[in-house]
Amino acid sequence: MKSLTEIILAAILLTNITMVASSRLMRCIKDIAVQGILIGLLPLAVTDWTAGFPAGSIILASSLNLVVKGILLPYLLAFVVRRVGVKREIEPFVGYSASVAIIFLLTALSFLVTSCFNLAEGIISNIAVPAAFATICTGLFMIIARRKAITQVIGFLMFENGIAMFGTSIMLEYGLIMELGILQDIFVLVFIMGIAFFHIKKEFAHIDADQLNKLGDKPTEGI
Amino acid sequence: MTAIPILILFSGSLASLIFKPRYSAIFGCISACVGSVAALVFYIIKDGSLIFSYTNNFLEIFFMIPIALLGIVAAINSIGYLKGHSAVHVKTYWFFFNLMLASMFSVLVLNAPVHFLLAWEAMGITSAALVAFNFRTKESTRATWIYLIACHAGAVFLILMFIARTAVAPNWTVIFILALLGFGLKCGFMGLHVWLPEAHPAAPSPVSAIMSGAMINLGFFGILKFGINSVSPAAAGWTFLLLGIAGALLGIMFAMTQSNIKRLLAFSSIENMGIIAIGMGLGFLGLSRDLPLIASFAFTGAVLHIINHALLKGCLFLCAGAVLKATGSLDMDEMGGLMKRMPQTGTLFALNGIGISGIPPLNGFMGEFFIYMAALMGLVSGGSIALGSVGAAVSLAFAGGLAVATFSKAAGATFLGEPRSEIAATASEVSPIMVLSSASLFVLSVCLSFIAPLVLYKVGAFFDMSLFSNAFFNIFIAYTSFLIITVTVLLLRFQLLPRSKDNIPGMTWDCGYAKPAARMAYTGTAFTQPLTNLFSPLLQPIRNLIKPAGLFPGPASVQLEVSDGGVRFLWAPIFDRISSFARKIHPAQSGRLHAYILAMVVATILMLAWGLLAGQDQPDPENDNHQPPVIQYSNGD
Repeated sequence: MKSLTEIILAAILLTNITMVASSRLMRCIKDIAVQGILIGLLPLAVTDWTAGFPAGSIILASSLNLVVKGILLPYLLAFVVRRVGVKREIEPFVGYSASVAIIFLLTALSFLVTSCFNLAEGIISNIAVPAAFATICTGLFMIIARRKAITQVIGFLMFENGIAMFGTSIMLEYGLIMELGILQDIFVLVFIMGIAFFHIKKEFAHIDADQLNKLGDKPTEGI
Repeated sequence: MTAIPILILFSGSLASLIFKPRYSAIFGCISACVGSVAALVFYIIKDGSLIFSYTNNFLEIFFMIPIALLGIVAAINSIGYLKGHSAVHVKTYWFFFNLMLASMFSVLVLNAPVHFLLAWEAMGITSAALVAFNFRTKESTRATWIYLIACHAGAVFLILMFIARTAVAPNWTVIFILALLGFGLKCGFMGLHVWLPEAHPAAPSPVSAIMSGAMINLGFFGILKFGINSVSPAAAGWTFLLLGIAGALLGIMFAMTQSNIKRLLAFSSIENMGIIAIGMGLGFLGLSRDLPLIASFAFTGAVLHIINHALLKGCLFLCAGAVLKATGSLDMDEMGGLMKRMPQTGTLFALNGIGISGIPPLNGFMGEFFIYMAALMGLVSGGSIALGSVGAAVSLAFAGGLAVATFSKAAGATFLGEPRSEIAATASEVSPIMVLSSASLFVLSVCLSFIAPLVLYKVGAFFDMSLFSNAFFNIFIAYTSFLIITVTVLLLRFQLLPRSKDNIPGMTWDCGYAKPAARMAYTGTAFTQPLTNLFSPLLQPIRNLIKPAGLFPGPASVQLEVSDGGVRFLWAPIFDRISSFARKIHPAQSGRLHAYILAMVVATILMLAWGLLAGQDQPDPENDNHQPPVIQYSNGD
């Protein structure tokens, strides 16, 4: 099953790039759904099916991931996007081609950095840990480089996907339980953000996160 | 059993929050009184041995006494003090008052570092809430901030101290210095005292009484319990002695120059903490040189002075509260002539002023007398201890003299002469409950002076008893006879000088003027002006002088103000530096969400890189022979 695992990992890396490269929010949401499904499939692909039916916890985690990350959250996000009526990311801080270039760089850097890690035992694939790191970095990059709050939520989801990949790839003993806890957090968070967007949109007629600082105690001059 | 008083206080604080204001005052007062009495009963009598017998927790029991006594009296006094305040004020006051007492008792009974720190912080926060009683005024907010900052800075040092104690090979010098800083911030050593003159005027007077009389003592409690067993007696002795001399002299000098009556009392508290520190310093010096006589006299003096100061200063603050209640002001230069309008408060204030200045026959004298005795004995024993004794004796005498000047100024400017303002002229005596509660403290302090020799006897029991088996008895006889003679002389004076029937009531200070006015009388500032001039190199007074000029001079005036030297020359420059530095790095706070996230990511990546690079050449931590940290603390003795 090793080749299948590596195909999935490569596909996840590809979704990273397509998400960073697209300006349409719906495209991003579809991509994050695909990534969620791939993340959900990863534990199943890793399992040794010849040794019998996998443990219940693996089935539970993977099916929960499939349902929540692959269907529920993307559906919620799509619902919010439709209701709020925002279609595109306009004027991101970092342009799309530049973003793709940076993501390539980050991915390469992840391979470089993770080679320092001493994670030889129990690793599912040579590219698993670097791929997880690349996904984490891409998620953070999306949070920083994009203006729309929805894109930032997507970046956050991607970041979480990276953590999940990391957990799966080094076969943490309690990784699944932890993963379930994080999943619950994410779900609540996206839910709350969805509700918040409605209200922010109602009040401010936009959901640009970089303008939310008007709400804070922005420092005035001369204090 | 130890939890019962604290539980009583907790339930009282909750009850005073729940019920209507009228009942909340009743609940709050009753629970504060019952809780304090329960503390006295459970903590002191529980051991089957009365006060001052040597038990494992001598320190705790000893510091419990001022808290419980002042807690009862201040709670009763608060009923009068709070009349006329709004429901919100009354409810929050009783809530935090009970919590403050509970946290103070907890500080005493909790031993483990974490519990102790929690109680210590709770004590700071609840008392800060009480300092913020008049939270709508600017001064109160400022005072609360200063107090909170002082509390938390102290807690930082304490946390560091407790961490340092858990080290495998603790550095005891560092621990002692940290304890001095952390606890010294509470007990107002010179330089760390800045919150006292700010917080005390802002707090309601019963709370000032507790804070000044009982809470700042707990700084000594902390040092003795956690810090002192870490250094040699000689080092501790010299540290205490020098800190005490600085505190006593500078404290009373600044007190002398204040015109706000509660600020004056706060500075006087710094002086008294200095005297206590001098006593302890001499005691430790005596211990280090193996001179039990000096040690026991000095420790007795310190112990007595803690209690004396608690009672006398508590009463003085309650009197100041009565003056505030009657006039609405704390500025002594606005008062005058209050003796005719509130004779009971005035008399109490004057008597307590005499007591705290260390004038015989009141008990304030007894504490200082024992320290003098120790200093004199140190003088003849030679060596370095003689040097310390000279310093102690001279500075004690000096501080005592200035204290007399300070309190004659305070009593004179406030109560004597003619009223200098409308508010003073229309003042009237406060409610009997306030007068009686403060009077009870004075009566207690007089009674206490009779058991002073007993204290010497008990403290001496820590050392070699045979040295002065009769000393305490002689002192008792001498003291009692002295008191009897004083009282007899006073009675004789009243009997032998019969009051003439044809007394003509006239104006005060009618020194031959045709039409004397209050403006001709000395103000408090004018009274101490010569002394202020004498010490102006130390005090750096700010003088605003408008001289009369020309042939037909216009109005002329002179103002003399002495602000706290600790703030002006130590802390204000430091905080100015910090704020100018902060202003320089302020632009980094752009208010942009993305920039913040970027900063966090960069920091995380840097930490990761650091961890990777540092982890390569470090041995596996599991292979190190780390012993589990051993937490050491002693049940102070």
